[in-house]
Amino acid sequence: MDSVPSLSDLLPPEAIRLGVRARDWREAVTACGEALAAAGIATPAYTAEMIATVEQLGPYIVIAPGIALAHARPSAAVLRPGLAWVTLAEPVPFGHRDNDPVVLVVGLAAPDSSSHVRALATLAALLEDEQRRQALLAAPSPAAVKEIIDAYERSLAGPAGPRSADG
Amino acid sequence: MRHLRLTVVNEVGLHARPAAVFVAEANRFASRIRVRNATTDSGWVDAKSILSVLTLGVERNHDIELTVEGPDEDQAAAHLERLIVSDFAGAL
Repeated sequence: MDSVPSLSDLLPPEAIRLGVRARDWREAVTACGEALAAAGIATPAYTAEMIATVEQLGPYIVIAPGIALAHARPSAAVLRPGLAWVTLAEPVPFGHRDNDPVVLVVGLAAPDSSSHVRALATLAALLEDEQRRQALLAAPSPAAVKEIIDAYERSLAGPAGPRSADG
Repeated sequence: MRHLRLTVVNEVGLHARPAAVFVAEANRFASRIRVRNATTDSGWVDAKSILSVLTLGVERNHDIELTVEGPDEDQAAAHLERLIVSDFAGAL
């Protein structure tokens, strides 16, 4: 329990890309895979695995209005647990009845077990908050995305929270 | 109304693929289905919303509670129980 990564820990600035051009959901997921690879979280092979997951699970990866969670099974293509954050210049449809079109693709890479489940729960709670979701989607820079996430996690931790002030 | 308490044995808990499958299966039924993480004493959420299910942070060996209420509650409860207890046999 001592090394549960926070959401912010899992999302390095180099894995955040804003205003990416994608013509369809495959290009959007590919951009996400490139961001994961650039941050050293996964190898390029993980991109194909995420695309295969979308083909299999279909629209259920679109977890909220405008937001898709791209991921695949834990695999050798994952180098360390982490997230990527890709917003699109133009929304693209993923085939979801209610939540299309997608403007944000969050990529999730997990090498194994459940250490990141809590971070994912934090992300889900953050995205359920309409105001914060809008702020995240409108964030003008990777630093602004990180700041919104950090502020949210600080609000959860409270004065007796487990994290020191070094974040 | 049907009420179930189940242990999630999946190695990654109830998120990502397992959560997507669970929500997809819940959506096959007309009944209102609610779920909570009993281990963390969470609130109840809509089992048909993946975002809501993800907020529960269900890890391996956590207990979840389900309530199922509606015209197909018996089938839905049996189906979801089988899914969780079998560790998503054949569904992942």
